[in-house]
Amino acid sequence: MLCQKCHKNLATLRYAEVVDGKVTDRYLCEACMARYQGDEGTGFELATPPKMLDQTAGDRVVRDTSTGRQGRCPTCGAPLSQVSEEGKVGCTSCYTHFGRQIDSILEGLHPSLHHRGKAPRLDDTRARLRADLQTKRSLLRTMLGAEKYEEAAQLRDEIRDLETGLYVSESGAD
Amino acid sequence: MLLESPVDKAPLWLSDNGPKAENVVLCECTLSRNLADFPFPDRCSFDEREGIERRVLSVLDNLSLLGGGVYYSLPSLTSTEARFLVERRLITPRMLLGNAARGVYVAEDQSFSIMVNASEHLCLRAHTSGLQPQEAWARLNLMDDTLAGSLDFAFDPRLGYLTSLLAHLGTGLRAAMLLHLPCLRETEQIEAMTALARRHRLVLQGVKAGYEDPLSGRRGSARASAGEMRRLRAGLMESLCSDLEGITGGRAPETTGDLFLLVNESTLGVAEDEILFHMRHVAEEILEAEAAARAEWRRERAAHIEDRIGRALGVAAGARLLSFQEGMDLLSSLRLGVAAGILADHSVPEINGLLLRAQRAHLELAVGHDCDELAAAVERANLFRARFGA
Repeated sequence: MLCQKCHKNLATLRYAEVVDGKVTDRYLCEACMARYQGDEGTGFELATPPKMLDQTAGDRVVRDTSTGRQGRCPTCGAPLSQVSEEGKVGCTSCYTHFGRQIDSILEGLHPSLHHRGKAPRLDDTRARLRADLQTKRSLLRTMLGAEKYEEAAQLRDEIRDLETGLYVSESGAD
Repeated sequence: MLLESPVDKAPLWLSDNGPKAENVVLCECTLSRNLADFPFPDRCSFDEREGIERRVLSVLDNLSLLGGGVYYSLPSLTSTEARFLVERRLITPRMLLGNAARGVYVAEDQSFSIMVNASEHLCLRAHTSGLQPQEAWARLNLMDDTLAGSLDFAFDPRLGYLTSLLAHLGTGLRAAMLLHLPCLRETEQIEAMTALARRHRLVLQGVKAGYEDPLSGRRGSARASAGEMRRLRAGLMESLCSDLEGITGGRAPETTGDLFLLVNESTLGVAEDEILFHMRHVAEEILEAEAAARAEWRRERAAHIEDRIGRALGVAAGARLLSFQEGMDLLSSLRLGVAAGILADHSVPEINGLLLRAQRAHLELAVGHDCDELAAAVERANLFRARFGA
């Protein structure tokens, strides 16, 4: 879940506000929580009984482990806070378990959420040709954008060769 | 001493005079890989880390590709020896922390290293002299393919190679170039170059003496205790080490010796060839700007530039105490003198050699004992005088 205040960072803390006896939960990132704490003097209560919680700043900040299974990776035990604060996961299962949260972090780090580049299975010639083709097409767009026509022409020829190679390879396979 | 061979030997990138080597000190590519059936190193038990090390070593032993290199287990090295490996960029600074099983395989010519149980199970790293990022990548690519024949790497069709750090995910490729840009710094054009790099999803940042934790400010840096971090920083005070693990844009362009690192920021959604293509393209533009700034400087302020180089030569030839910072500043001026043809008796590999040997762990291993700041300053001055004195 994204922070309900800044809508940018991952919400890792729950802030329970009591106004006129009515409890309102807000899910915030650490930066916004720090600002909230600076602004708010009183009127703050723990959202869950203390024994269930990991309290990090006296009794005022409540780390959201109360979501139980969702808060930690069931395989390696890595907490969600490690993923959001350090940009670090504990094992390959974290990618499945924290998928949604990780994707939202990745969006800020990388241009796309889909791998392009080499893969471990190098015996699949066609897969490599396709990947090469995709890379060169992208480079061609960059070159044309930068008005580097000599390089673009060279890339166009390489793309043509690769397309021929891919066609021959696929026809041969069929 | 365990490290006798690497200390005596200069790494291949240093003696090789690659293209544009007067401006590009070295190219460095690092590839992150993890075994599919273990948690990532930070979540491993001691036994699991030993298991990973054993498995990787058994594969390395059977690979003829690697030639006559040596595997160094970090816990068996002295602190100075381990720092020496950081100064040679063969391991990451964070590998100095902790007691768990970890180590590095260093090629005989030191052109590449394979770190085991660093931030990822395997970090393959290659260095080339001058502007040759593709050559460094080609070497890693071959090593990666060979290792993949015996090791099952964690890979997901959508996310690519799975890594502990989300900043490494996808290709796992971190490419870096160490650039010497004195005139762009002098003419305050570094900001413009930083913006140019950012447009290509690259980061241009100054290299500062000492260790700066890239994760500081984030809660995660607490994984190493404050005491450990203090010791790490103290040990690397007089080193040009840089931790590229948590790199993100927007750092202040402060630097030591006018040295800057150009590094790719993104690893997912962009293929290896594209990363290297953009690196090369941006590096060439930066070097063109540096060349133009130098030409203008020489045209309009020839006396100033010659004075700077002459003074540096004088200090290098006569100083009895040289702090690390001053040593790096001298080397910047001297490198400028070599590139401008003013110091015809000296060469770029010689300046690169001093860049390495003026660091604290290098000095300590050369004299055979630990040095405090004063003793290191004396040894550093001796090193410079031996090269530039009458």
